[in-house]
Amino acid sequence: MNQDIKAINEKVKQESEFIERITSQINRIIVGQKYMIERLLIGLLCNGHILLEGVPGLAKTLSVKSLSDTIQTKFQRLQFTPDLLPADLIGTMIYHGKTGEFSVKKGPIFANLILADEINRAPAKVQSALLEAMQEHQVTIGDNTFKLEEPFLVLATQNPIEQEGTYPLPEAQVDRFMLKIIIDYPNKTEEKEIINRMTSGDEIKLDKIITPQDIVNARNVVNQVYIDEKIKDYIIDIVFATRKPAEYNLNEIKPLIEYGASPRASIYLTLAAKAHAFIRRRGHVTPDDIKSICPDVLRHRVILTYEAEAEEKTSDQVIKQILDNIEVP
Amino acid sequence: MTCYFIYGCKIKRHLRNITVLFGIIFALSSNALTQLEDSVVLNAKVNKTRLPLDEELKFNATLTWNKDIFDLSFDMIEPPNCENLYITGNFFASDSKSTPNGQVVSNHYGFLIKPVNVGSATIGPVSLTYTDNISGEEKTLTTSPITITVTKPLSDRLYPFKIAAKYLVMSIVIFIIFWTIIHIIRKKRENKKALMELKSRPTLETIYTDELKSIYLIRQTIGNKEFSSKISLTLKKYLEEKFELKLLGATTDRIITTLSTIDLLNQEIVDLLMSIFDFCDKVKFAGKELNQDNVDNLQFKAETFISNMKNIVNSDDRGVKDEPGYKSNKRKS
Repeated sequence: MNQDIKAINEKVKQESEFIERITSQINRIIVGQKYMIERLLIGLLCNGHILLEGVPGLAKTLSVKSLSDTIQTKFQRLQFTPDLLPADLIGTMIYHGKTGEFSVKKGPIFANLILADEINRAPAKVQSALLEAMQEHQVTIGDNTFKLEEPFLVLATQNPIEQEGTYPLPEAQVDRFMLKIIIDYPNKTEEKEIINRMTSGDEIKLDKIITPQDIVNARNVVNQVYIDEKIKDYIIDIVFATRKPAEYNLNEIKPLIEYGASPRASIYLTLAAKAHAFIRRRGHVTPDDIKSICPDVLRHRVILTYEAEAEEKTSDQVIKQILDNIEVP
Repeated sequence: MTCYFIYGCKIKRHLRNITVLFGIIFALSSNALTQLEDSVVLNAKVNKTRLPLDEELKFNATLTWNKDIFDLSFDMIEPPNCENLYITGNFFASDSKSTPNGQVVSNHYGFLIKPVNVGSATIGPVSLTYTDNISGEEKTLTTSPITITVTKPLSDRLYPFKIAAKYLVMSIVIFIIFWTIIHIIRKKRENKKALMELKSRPTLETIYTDELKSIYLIRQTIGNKEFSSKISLTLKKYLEEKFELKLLGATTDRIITTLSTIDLLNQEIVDLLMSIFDFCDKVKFAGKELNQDNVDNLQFKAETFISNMKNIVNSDDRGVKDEPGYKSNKRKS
């Protein structure tokens, strides 16, 4: 094996050791939801924000809270409401009558892990303030610009069933999220375990496993994970298939796609695949990593046509069809 | 209305004509009956004058008289003399009916007669002598002879048709047998030809082993990475064709999972394939470097895998369980 890749493999094995410890800590509170926890870690490792979608009561908030408990970071939960203002989020200038000066009062966004609960309940100006902070990793209050402390990760949730009185995120803003995760119900065994665990009355306290510096170090290693040219070509083929399905013998999905995925999808797909390989304690990316992470990266980036909606086709179905038909290297 | 009136007149005219016609018929018949009632009459008749040799006819002699006028005594009637005919049985019946002139009695003397030979036959005259007890008068009544034509028996007449039908049936049977034999021979010949073609055609295993060998020959030109890539792609194509699976978009894990569901494949074969694919993946995606021994070993393993698959039946009996996302890629043949 190439010496560099061998070294990366060794490094990955060494640095990814904390993943299992974090997972086992979170599993002390969360039953099942392995997929969601893994995606949260991918977001953490790639510095990519995550949009969680699922009906209420699926432990979305609890999972994020548990993840933050295992890291020595500042965690903030923001409940988005229709009357929320941007200043409530990022902070404001406060006038002191005694001194006759203004001072900065930083908002709750100055934290490492932000849980934006029900993001679609806040008006567009609040959403855009948050999304700007997400993109720039900095906030401007008055004349002062403040850098947000790393790691800075926004985990937003939205409820797919209550659409009344909500402000759905525009496509351009949804695109800022690296992953969109659909949370599903637990199975019977998991549900039983949830009952046992949540009705025992015991308060579980999680150990702090890693520091923000560990996350920054891990991110550096993730960036070094080897990705072969063949895999890059595979990623490009997938993304291009969403834009020009006919070129990939996917004529049947051509009328279903209004807009294909952006280059940001290719970037995030590469990064997420690297993080996925890191979690699997591998120093190189395989097609399995791509296939595993692909729906979460593309789900909110493949915009379907009205015809597709009329046929009750989902972007997940379209992505699956693409993945089944693009030749794996 | 006019039309109805005209049609009404026409109908009335027809009815009048019909009434007149019936009147004439009635007058004539009553006259005949009156004549009959005044005398003693002996009539002879047959039910048919032309008959086949194997059938029989009825000869009937009827004596009719008015009982109120005549008081007759007579002997039994003698059977007629027949030429080329013979009597097989006889019967007697009597009936009477009341008329305005008195009671008319009829005695029927019947004979069943069969022909002897084909040709002409004659039923001789029948005579009957009676005595009128009132007048004491004795009279003999004689009927006329009746000529009969005897034809060939019906069975003889149908004979040519029967023969023709027999020959037709025989011909059809012979034709069917002949056609079946030809069909069987042709089918056997076709099967033999197909078998010969099949034998002469290279098997899937031969084709892909040759392909692996050709890849091995160009390994130095294409480089080790491309070599392993081509080896895994060839095996993937082979599996697609062998089991009619769609493996284009399948990763190594997916391929192994799918193959594990095929009943015909034992774990040893699946493990061998997994080791080949894993090795190829490491070369392709993890930058693993190959030396000559690795290349030879990979080539050997790939050829061994295909060779081991030889005895495993193709496609239809593959026993693949339903695998989500894996549609059959059955070729149209």
